[in-house]
Amino acid sequence: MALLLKAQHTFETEDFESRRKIVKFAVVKRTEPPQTEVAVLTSFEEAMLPHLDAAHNLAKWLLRNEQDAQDVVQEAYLRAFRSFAGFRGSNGRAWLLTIVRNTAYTLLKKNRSADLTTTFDEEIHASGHESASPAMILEHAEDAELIKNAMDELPAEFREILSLRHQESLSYNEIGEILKIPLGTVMSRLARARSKLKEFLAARVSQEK
Amino acid sequence: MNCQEIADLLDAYLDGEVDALTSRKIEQHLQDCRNCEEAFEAHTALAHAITYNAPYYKAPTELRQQIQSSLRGAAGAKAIGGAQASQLFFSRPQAEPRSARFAVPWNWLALAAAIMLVAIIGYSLLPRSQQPGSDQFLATQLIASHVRSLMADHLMDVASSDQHTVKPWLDAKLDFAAPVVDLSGDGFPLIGGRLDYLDNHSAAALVYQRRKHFINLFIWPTTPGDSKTQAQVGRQGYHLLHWSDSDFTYWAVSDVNIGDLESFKRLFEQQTARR
Repeated sequence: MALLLKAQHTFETEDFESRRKIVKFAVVKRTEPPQTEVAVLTSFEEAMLPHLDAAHNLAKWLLRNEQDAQDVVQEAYLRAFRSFAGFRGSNGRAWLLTIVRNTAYTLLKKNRSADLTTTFDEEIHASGHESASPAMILEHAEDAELIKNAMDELPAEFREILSLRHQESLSYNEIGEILKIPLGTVMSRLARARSKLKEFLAARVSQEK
Repeated sequence: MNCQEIADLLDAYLDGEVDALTSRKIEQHLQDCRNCEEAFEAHTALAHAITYNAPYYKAPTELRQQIQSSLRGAAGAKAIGGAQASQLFFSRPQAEPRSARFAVPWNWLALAAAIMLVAIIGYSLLPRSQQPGSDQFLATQLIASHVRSLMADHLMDVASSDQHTVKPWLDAKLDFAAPVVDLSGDGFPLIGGRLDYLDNHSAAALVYQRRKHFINLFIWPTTPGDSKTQAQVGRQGYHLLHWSDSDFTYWAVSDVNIGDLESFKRLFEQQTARR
């Protein structure tokens, strides 16, 4: 039925459409219809929902608490939706993660400023343990619990940068964009985060023995 | 380069963030210097441990639903008062009469056009599985793409065995983040990635090697129309293996035997599940 109709009327319809199109263009040019809220919502969801896992993962590492992480992610999506009109970039994930991070820090500052030892004092935290050797890391690399605990011990700025680099595989550029820091700082912060993590791993392993 | 300079650059080198020239200098030094090489191994092991063994906290399903409903609330609040308030409650098929605004006065031609439009939309809305031969057509496309990639020396757009090079490259070019894992430890080294266009959407094509053979793994986000069942097709001497998860649809195409392809699939799933 469908094909029959199509075949019979194709020619006439095309002819008719090409005449009408001229009128359509004129209308569209003069008064461009405002994009409806529904269309915005659809394109927002298409662009941003694929990054929900990344958003949740980052929030969870920052807050170390499931309920807070979920609240933050939900709030971040609402904020992102409100400012979606201003989003022009092509990297939706970096843009969303920036908002997630800001939202998470707002919560951390309000409720748990003690967690935000951002000016991490290397002296105080110097554990006195040797940094972990390659052999030791290889030996314990499969110990997910150990790695999680050692990472959780790190200050927030180290947890987030390690997660962004190794779990999201983001480039220095993208990380710099999200954390609002220059490339040199991305590199040095990653280096410090890794050496601190090695130290914490070594400390935990020697405690276990 | 001395050891101190190497130590300063080691993190950037591990992350693939140094230029080619510096990278060659570092490689040279690592070959000659046992200490620096050990330091690099420790770095690599640590990076590997975080990537594969630190927990990746996926969002629970409820969260997605909560977000979607709160977004609807926010969109509704904005729209109410606006002229488009009612459209929020209209789903796509009903939005169609709006185009009637542009229609010519009612006559036979318009009726025919309307019927045709409905027929076409209805046809395109049919679930894919009900279209006979849609999978066959896809299989043909997949094999064609695989063969073309081998023939025209266009196997890869980005040639790298490093998943941390291939993944960002693909992510920057596609509107989804395809999972990329290296399976070289299991005899399926990743050798690069490519963009492709299949079944009416962009797809990521990962290229793996199995001895002298190549495996093209095509990945695109799962849509409701994609068939969920695992399938295995053999054609023209090629094997196709299809599977999907909640996020992505996968098609592996190769001339390796089906047993190898199945173990490739299993390893790929294991590695992606750990992320």
